[in-house]
Amino acid sequence: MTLAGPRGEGRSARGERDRVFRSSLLALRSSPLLLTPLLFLAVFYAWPLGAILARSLAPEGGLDLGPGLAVLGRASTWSVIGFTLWQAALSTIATVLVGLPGAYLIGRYDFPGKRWLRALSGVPFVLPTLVVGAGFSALLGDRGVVNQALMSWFGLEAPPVQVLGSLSAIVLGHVFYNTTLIIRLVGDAWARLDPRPLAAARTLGASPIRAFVEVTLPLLAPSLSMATLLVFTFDVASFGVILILGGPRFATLETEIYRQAMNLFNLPSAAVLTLIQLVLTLGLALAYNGLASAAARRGLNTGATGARPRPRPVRGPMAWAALGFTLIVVIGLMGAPLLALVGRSLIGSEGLSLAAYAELFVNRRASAFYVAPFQALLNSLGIAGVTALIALALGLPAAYVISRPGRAARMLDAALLLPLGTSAVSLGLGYLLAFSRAPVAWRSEPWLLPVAHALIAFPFTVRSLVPAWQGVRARLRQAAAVLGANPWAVVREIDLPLISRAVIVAGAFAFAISLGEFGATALLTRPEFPTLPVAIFNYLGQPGALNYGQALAMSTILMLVCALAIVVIEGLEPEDADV
Amino acid sequence: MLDVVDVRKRFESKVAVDAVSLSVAPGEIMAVLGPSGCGKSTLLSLIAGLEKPDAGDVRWAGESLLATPTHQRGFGLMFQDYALFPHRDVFANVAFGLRMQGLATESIRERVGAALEMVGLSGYGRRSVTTLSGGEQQRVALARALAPRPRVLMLDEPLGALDRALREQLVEELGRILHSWEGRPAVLYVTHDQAEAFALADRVAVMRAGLLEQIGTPDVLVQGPVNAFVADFLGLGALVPARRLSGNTAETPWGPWPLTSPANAQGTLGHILIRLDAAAGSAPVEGPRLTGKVVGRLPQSLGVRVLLDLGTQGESITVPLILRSEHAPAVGQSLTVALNPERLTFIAATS
Repeated sequence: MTLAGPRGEGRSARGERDRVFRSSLLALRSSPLLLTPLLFLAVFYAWPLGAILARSLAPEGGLDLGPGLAVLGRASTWSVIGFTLWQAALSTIATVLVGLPGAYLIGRYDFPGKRWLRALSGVPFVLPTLVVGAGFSALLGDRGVVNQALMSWFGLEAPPVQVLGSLSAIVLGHVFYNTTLIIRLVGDAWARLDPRPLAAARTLGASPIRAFVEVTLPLLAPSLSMATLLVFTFDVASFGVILILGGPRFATLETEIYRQAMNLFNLPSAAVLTLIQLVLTLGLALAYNGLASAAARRGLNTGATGARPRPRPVRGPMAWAALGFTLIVVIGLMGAPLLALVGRSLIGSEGLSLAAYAELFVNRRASAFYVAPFQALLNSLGIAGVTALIALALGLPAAYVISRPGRAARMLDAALLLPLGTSAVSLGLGYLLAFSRAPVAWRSEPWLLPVAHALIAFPFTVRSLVPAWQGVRARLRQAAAVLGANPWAVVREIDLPLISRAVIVAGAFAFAISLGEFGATALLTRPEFPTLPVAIFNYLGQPGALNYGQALAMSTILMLVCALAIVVIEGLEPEDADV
Repeated sequence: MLDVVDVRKRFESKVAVDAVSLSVAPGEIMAVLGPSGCGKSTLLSLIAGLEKPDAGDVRWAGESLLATPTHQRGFGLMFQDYALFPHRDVFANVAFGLRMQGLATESIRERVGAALEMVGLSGYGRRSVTTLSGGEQQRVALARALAPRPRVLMLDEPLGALDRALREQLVEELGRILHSWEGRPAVLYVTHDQAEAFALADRVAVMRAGLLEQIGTPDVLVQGPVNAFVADFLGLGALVPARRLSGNTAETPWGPWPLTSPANAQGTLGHILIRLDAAAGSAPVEGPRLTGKVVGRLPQSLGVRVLLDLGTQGESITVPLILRSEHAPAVGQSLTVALNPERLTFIAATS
């Protein structure tokens, strides 16, 4: 029994070019795998970005800094930038303060239902901003539960609680969203801390507070600063929360770009603002990346110190206070708006009714410009499905390349920072500018939206897949190769089955992101093909109880579908995986 | 015939394999013996095609395999940690290589059955590999490597992960399986355990720090170790520095000694190997002798193994010798032993 002899072509004959991309004799050749994601990034990211640069710095063709400088010269521009940073700073501080007790709880103690609490705290994070906005509206808005109840109980004329449309509402919304980042990132790091230095400090005479300040805090500093920076970045690029909870009185860079582009049709101005926004968010992304690399190098985040503290049962006033506070936060702050959303959507003109839901199927205007809201749901589901497929089709080869050692991996990993550090509205504007004219008049094509969503989801998809792929033991691949599996067979037989869970998680992530995406969609949407978030936004802005009810009903449905996706993600993902 | 010709491999600053050449014929079992880190596993990787040599060639039947990727070489490799596919059951693991060959389902079923029977695991087909014991996993790994009837079979410390009792039992079985497996592959058996190597192999290659020190049958290695490292690694006895004066005499710290040296011994500076059984039965008046203090005493089946501390000239040399129990005093006592020149071997120093 003989096996095939040597092939005619020799590996040694392929020359220098290979060494840049080849990391192991067993891997698929990196260069063709790299091609698809890079091509995608080039056409659907670099090009739109270039269009923004062109429109801001060379609006009439030649380099002309005039319009750009004019925008920079306006006081309003600077007040917008100032407010962007101010609201982000306030929100971040509030988030950290609210989240720290929860981090303390997760980090040090064990109690029944701990896993549930941690999972529940993560639900807000993946909820679409529209749902959150609708939820707060349903709780604290003029037509919301609290105001309606107070008005009927005390016989008031005007709604007494006026939280929406203020800076407090914005901060509240951000805290709602990002507290889970503090709880998880800092909490998990806390749980991994080596207990021995702390014990040593106590035996050397340090009081509990002193020991915390001198030992625990410095050890937590890397994760705390990373989490804080992440929260700040999200708050800077926040769109839906500002728009809905803040209202027209407030303008951040993100909402201003939208306003200039969509309401004032002032594309050059929007482009310059986008440039500023890009510099800001990319800078923050780089800073975050720098912190993460530094922390990884020092091994502080990996628990490399070895000993793990055993979590204690809840005991003592500090622990109980933390538990109580966290429960109030999770159930009160996070749960109340969502419960109000569901509840309010079920209240019609005569008490409980499903009228709002029934209305979703009706196209009351019967005009070509409006579709039955239910159609928007179907559109969103379809787009989300296509997004998941695109994200996986690109993410799998990208993750494969990144999980191998080598220059190609580092290059691609760095390239991923770019879409991560680009706000959604910026991307949307880029698409508007780049794809409006032939031969690339894709602006109205239905597939452009899933492409945009896939680009937004791309870094998250890849980050979910890389650890799974790195977890596949090299030995198993070697064993398969020795047994006769060519590189494609190795991927098919070994890698893919072993990462199947991560693939589902990555797909669910992309699906959820697409479902709730509003920033880019707001710029690219067409009236005859709305997505659910856009429809919710439209209906929220219109007077009338029925419209409001429908908005809430759609938000509830959106929330439930997203929650389903989260359940899938939480169920399949291992504990303390990276966000 | 597998020919490894002058193969070299370095990883960054460390040379893992340094100009190693050896040949293994079909049906022959060659052990590659050496301490951890000597490059023996790297050698297997190079032969299997999992790594590319910096220089040299790997040939089968005279033809170079350097351009052939791993999955086409037809070599089997059994890893030290088995590397069983956790997401497949025992049958699917063993059948993997056969599927890659494109065999028909019926043939696969037959061959897997035969392989499992050969390793004593008939009926284990549907078991999940993660529930198996260490010994069972090892057998599945062996069956998986053998099923495709490779022309070369490489085993990387196959018994390394098992406890001692299991190891001794399995060495025997392994020998039986390897000798009776159809297809008579050339077998390369990597280990750090000298007893295993000697029990299984037709020839043994001793490696150190990437270099091949000596290749030969176990008898040749024992009778004529080519340098101090081999003698020491094989545990043949103590080595004392010596300078050869003429044909059969060498100058030692204790005066001139007559000795036996292998026919190919050259050079004047080197060591004298005092074999474990060098103690002469009766004490002749003249002749080589050693005096020292007993610092260890271990009764064994063939006599008492005594450790004699010579304490000469600043550096302390301890010599293990096997004595009859009546000649072996207690620890702490001094002892003079006459040595049988026929059990003293001169080993020249290599530069």
